[in-house]
Amino acid sequence: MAFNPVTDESVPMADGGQHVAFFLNDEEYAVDALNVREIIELSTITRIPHLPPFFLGVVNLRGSIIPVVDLKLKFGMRDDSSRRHTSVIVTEFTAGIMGLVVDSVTDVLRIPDDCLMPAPSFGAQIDTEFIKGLGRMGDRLVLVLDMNRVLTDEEKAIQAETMSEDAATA
Amino acid sequence: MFDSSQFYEVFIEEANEKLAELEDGLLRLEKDSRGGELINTIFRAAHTIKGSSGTLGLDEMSKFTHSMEELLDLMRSDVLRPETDVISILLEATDRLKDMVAAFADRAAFDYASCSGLVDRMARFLSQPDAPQSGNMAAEPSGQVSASRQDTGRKEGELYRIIFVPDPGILKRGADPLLIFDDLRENGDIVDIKADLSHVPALSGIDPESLHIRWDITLKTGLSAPEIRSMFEFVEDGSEIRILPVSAIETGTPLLGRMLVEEGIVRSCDLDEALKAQKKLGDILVEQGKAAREDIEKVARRQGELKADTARHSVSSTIRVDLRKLDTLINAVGEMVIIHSMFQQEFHGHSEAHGRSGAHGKFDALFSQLQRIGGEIQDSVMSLRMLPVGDVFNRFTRLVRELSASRNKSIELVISGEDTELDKGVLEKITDPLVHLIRNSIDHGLESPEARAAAGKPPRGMLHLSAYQMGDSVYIDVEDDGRGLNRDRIIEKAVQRGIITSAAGMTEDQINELIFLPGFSTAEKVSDVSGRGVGMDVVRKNIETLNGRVHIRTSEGVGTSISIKLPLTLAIIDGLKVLVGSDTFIIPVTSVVEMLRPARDDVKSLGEKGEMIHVRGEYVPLVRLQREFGTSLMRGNPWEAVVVVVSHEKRKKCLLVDELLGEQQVVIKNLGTAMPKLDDIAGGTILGDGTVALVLDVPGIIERRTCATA
Repeated sequence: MAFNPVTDESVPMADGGQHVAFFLNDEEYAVDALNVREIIELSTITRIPHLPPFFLGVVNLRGSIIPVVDLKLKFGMRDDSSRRHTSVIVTEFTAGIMGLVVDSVTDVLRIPDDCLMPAPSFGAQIDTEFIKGLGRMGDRLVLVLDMNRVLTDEEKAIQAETMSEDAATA
Repeated sequence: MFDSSQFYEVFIEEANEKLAELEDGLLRLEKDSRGGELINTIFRAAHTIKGSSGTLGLDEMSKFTHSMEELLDLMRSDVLRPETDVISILLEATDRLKDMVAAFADRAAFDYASCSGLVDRMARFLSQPDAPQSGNMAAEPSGQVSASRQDTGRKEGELYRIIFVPDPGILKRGADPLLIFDDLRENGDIVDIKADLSHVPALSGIDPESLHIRWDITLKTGLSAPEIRSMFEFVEDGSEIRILPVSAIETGTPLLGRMLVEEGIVRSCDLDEALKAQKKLGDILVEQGKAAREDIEKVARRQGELKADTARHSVSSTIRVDLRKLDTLINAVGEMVIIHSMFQQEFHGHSEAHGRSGAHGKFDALFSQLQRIGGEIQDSVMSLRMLPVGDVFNRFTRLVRELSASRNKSIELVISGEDTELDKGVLEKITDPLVHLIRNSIDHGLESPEARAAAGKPPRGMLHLSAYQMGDSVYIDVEDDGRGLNRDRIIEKAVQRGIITSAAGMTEDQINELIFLPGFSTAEKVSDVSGRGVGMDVVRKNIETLNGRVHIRTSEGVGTSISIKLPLTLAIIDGLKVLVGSDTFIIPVTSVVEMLRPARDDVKSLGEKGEMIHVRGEYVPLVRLQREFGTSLMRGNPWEAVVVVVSHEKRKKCLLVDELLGEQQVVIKNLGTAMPKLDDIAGGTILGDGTVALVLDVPGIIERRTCATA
């Protein structure tokens, strides 16, 4: 299942702008391929106590342990379980490696930055602050996520959560 | 010529290594002033630092090391005796060098002017009456010394042919072969030098950072072949250096053989053959009756020994590997072992479901072999991270020397078990606690010579540092024959500090344990290194973070022995596998006191304050892990489930778990840098079935809940 966007012949390796596209329910999203290490099948997740529900837990990625986040839960989207065909996009950022659980990975797309339109303020199921822009490929609309914002927000949410939890137990 | 920034790291690493060698050598030299080879080792270390600092353009540092080298050179030639004052000044200089390297590593400026006093003092040794020359030496020491050596070189010099084929990658390592020529010139006359350009590739194929030039040097010098080789030490790795004594002929005249070759009269291979047919010098001398065969053989043997020595120095038996590469390897091997056990589970499940076929036995046999090899690989890979404790112990020789001098105590440090190996990570973290324990021993344990004499003990105190392995643990003992712990004073202090109300019913061990509590110090006098009362609790904390234990034994008037028990490696712990709800957790065995199923009557609910369990006469607070971790509840009642009593720093908690799954060794891994800091969880481990189990952070669990209820 793992694939390497660089050697995928169907995609011209031109001047960057490569994105990995995936579905959350019936909307198509994409993240910058430069941040994607690999895509794996979802294996047994070990739940971690004291973390918000979108933080599913940790999985074993060939001997190292990586945290996984459910993007639908994270974005507060309804969980349409009939669509579930769960894949994990393993992303790498300055903060470290994190797995994103999505419904299905569809494609590697070239979306140059100048083809990005500003995100519409309505329509999408998620908060627009995570969205870098809207890519239009023919009649296909793809929401490009700004992963750094998603992830830093992650930390904040957890901090707030654990703090409120502490306050509750104190 | 090249961008040297990428060599900084290499330089710093090497310099630190050589500095440790230098220091260790000097200290050993002080004990045993005869060591001829030892001085050579020290000299080489200083020389390497000089060379590499010069290469990086640290001229001040190079000059400073040069002053040291001159002193060492005098010692090497037996002009200067390695007395304590000389050793002291060299040690002081070593310290300054350490500062310079540290400043360089921090990219900070170093005030070289502050060393000028030290340089002057070193120079004074050079001009002492028993030194070969006096007078204006202090003003310009370097010129004088090398000049004197050149003089001897001219008088009794021998000719050597040096063939130097540098490693093409030498420039990338930051070595500058040109410095060698300066060195050679300083130590003798370069009669002839030829650069061999025949191996330089065509212009199109040239890599400007590779060196393809080879040199053929004829040197006339008073130095011996090993001494010449030592000048090449800095460029030796990967290079070919041949030093051939040339049979004595008059200076300035080229060799006949070479002239013949150059004129095209003989081919060089024919010449070599002819040269081989030449009789050995010794044989000729014997034939002519100039010397007895036995005598020559004796000398030849010594020459052989010297050659062997050189060989030992030139062929390094170690390689340096980036720790990250090693950890990647360890990870991969750990994963392989896990896959092996996953495969085995699958395989057996499959064969049970489908019955055994003939091929089954063969698969099984092959697989168990594969597994055995896998285990072997894992063991040897883990051993790659292991380092001998001697690396750390040797540093303490210096510490003890300095401290005993400044405290006016006479102390002998005895070290044993230096070869015992520990994980690099453990070794690094154990150094500070050991420093503390040694300082404590010297400050508080060992008495002054007068007090010792009065107590009928030998005036020289003994400090014994030993390491040994027993089972899966390594023990490091710090033992002294000092005054021991004063039981009454400990009790008095503990009562005074409100740590205990009385010592009634306390065992010796429990009383001794008191000194590990925060804020406890029995020292009457506060010294600059210990006695501030922050000592022993920090020591214990540090050791406990390594999953180690400290134990203290003492006998008043006879001495104290502190024993540190450490796991062989940081990464592997003994874990108790428990089931909490549907999740598996690991509790480190080191923090487990006992496991029990309490009787119904032993569980007391204190309303708001929570629940307590009556365990052997004391009430221990209960932590319901299922409820707190939000796992699905299986057994709500402690008397139906299992309680694991854990402790940390004398505080206990009962952890309520559903089931004990057994004990096993686990490799602790972190949960990834993207994971926020977690409460109650120390890390994770991968189980045999490939799933992740979390390792409980027992100290954290206890501390957090103690604070919350307080």
